[in-house]
Amino acid sequence: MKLQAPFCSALAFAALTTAGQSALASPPDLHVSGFGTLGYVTTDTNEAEFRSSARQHKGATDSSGDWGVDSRLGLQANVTFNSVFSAVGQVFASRRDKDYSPDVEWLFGQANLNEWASVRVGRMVLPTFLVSDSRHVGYAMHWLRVPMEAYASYIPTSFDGVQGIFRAELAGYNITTQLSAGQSEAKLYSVREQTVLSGTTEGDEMVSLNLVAERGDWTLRAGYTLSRNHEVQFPGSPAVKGDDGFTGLGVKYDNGSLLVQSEYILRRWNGRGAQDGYFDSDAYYLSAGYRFGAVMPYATFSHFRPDGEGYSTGDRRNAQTTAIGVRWDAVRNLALKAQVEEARGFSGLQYVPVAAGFAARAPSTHIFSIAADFVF
Amino acid sequence: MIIVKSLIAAVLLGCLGSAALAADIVVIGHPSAEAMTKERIADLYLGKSHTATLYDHRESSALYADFYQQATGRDVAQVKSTWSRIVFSGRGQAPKQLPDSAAVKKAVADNPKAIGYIERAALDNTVKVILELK
Repeated sequence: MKLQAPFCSALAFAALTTAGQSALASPPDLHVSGFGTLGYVTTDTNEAEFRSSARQHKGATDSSGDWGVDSRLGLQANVTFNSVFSAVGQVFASRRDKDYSPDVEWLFGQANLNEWASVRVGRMVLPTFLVSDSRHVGYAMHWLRVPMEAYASYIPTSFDGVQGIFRAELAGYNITTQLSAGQSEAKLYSVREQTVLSGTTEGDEMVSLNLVAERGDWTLRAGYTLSRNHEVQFPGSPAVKGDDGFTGLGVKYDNGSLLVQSEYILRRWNGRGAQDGYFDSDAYYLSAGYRFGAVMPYATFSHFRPDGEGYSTGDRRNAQTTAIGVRWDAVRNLALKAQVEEARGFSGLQYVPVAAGFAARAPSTHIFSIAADFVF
Repeated sequence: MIIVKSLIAAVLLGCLGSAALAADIVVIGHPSAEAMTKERIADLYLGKSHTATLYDHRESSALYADFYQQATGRDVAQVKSTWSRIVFSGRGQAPKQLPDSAAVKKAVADNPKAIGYIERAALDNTVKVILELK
């Protein structure tokens, strides 16, 4: 299955693009654009390394600030063949899977069946959460990075499969429904007795429903993602198998000056008996900011409550982070950000602990980040 | 030297332009189009609805900044941020930017599903006003 997935995407992509080309009347319209972040992170502890994703094997400490936690670069090509067929490819480079090498993040063909329905085939983003589809695009977000408590527990950033997108208008709301099915696979890094272990998280039978209602200043979102017979595997341990389900509710209000955004995420693991509830967790965040012209101060509170035994390393302690920061739209297409966070508790997702007893003590730590987000 | 002088003149004019009163802008559609509310235009131009073919002016133009401020209450950076989210999530492409009101007018006159905006002074009977912003 592992090799098949990219192959299938490539094949489907080729089929769609060929279909697009045969229907060509005029040359395809190519649009290339990109986004990126240059970021630096340091903390006030040398006992653990702060990271921005469980796909990172190392991170920032007090004595060793780190450019690799947040820095990233994406390049995207949109090709429109005609009013029906189009294709999108995105190459993305960041610290993950132990290197910075660029990966094909997305490569999908899209057919717009009519004004209200389209179908995609290939490698795409899975809309597991409210900002899943743009979580790498710093320029599109008010905060410096998505709250780890809510977003870190879902590891893959894309999947291979099919997606149907349906739009409707109801009571003045623009409703978008996304139905996805496919498979995903990602590496993740965890810690056992001060050693960083590389594992995999893999699901071959994944389905997802995403509902978004937008009107004026409001965005409402509800979604459910289920990966049946999902497998999490670390070397030297038996695989953890089960149905991995994420339910998310989100709301965003943005009137141009005031921005308030919040999400609640439930993860439920059905291990068919012995491992039931292994990765169960609840998470939420609340973030608010206010724009004073080009400057926007904001604050975010996020909370993660692990319930399952999968969140190993000692006590299953709640983790929470309070962040304050500012975004400054300094010049066109460039935003500068600074963020200070206080992290309490330990979830194992945002720290790769290096010192014995760090996880059990779960001391309160501070993280200091600056970033320049750009689009081109 | 001439280039330098005209550059200085352009910059000065630009400053004067932005200091002057915001432009009188009309949102236009095909002659067969129906009037729209400001909320509907804002939803379209901020990518919340995709039921029309939209035309924009150059991002660097005063008309662009004035239109988004009047129609959506967003400044240029916020609009860019909003469309970055849509473009880089593969959900759509930002409206096509055309060089001037004549080009926008022509594009809108040619397509019953098109929407654009121009200075009121550029208005003629090839297109229909679907929303007055002032």
